[in-house]
Amino acid sequence: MPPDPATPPLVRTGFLFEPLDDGCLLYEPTSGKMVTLNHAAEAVLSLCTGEFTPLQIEALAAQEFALSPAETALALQQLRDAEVI
Amino acid sequence: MSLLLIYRKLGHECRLRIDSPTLEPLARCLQSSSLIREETCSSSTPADLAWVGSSAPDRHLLLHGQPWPVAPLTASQLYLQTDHLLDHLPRQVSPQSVFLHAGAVVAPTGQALLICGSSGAGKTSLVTACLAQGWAWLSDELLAFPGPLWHSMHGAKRNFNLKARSFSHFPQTASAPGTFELPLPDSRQRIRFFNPDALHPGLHRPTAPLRALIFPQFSPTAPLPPSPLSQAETASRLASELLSRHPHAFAWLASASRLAPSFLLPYHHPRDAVPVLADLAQQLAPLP
Repeated sequence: MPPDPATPPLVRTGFLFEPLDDGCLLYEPTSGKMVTLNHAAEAVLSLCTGEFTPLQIEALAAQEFALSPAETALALQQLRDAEVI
Repeated sequence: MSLLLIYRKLGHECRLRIDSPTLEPLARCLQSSSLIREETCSSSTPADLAWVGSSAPDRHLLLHGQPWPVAPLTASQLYLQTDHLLDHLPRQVSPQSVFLHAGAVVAPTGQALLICGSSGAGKTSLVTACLAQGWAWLSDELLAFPGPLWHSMHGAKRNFNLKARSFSHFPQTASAPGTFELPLPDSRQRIRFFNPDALHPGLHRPTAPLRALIFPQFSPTAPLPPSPLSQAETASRLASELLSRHPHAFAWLASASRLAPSFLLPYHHPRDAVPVLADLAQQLAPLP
């Protein structure tokens, strides 16, 4: 099912975080899931607080991190696919 | 009488009991490089693995005394499944170690290079090519990091398995003592198991400090120089070959991604990759 554009994405709880030079690593101890995020995905993840819709995230990511709408959309999809949000 | 084959895998002894004399020749081809001794025993002697019954439908594989779910097994299935389980047993004994689907070699100048990639990426081919040039090797397939030092790398000694498309690169492996070929199930591909010690004795090293990560990638055209990988690219590639999923594994993944120099190595012929790896090894700075 495609994501609802009106629903603000929210990062799931329970992930541990390790910074990398060009992104970060996430780890969910309960499942053993390990996820690598590049800078763009890490930046978009920081906006997935449950306050902003995807459209608002797109605007904020452009303003704060100079990400294009395509980069933001891709990052959101990667985060959904990895079940981080 | 039964036959007990005892292997040393990552510091642990693994025992395979053969209850049928007709299966003994096949069993003796299995992982001969890590076989440390054999004994006669009875069919009630405890073993991690056992082959019972001489032919289908009575032939079975037992793991810790329990029947393996797939039965009856063909001789090829029995061999392949046991080969896989012999590598799996040390993971049960050392659940807190970090296990990685990767090979490793040691350059003549002393730097140990971890060679990582999915099945078919070229791990065995590169390790075999390095071995042919006199490099030491830790494994072509399975490494353990027992901690506490993230770079302390231990290799699982095993017979290498070469896929049919690589046979022509290493014709010497066809006639090495103990070489064994069989068809892969559900495939027209053949796979060749050979004992690296039979080709180049005395080059195995059980441990070495990891100095760099190499991710081979077959290039259908001319070989290209190795290119450095970023930390996130490295983490993503390593994570997909990481066999452990506990918190120590996560910490190891972060350390290795941050601290080890990492390279993508496009190669055309594995033999041509060896001098490239030698140059790369020489240029490595000491680990932080």
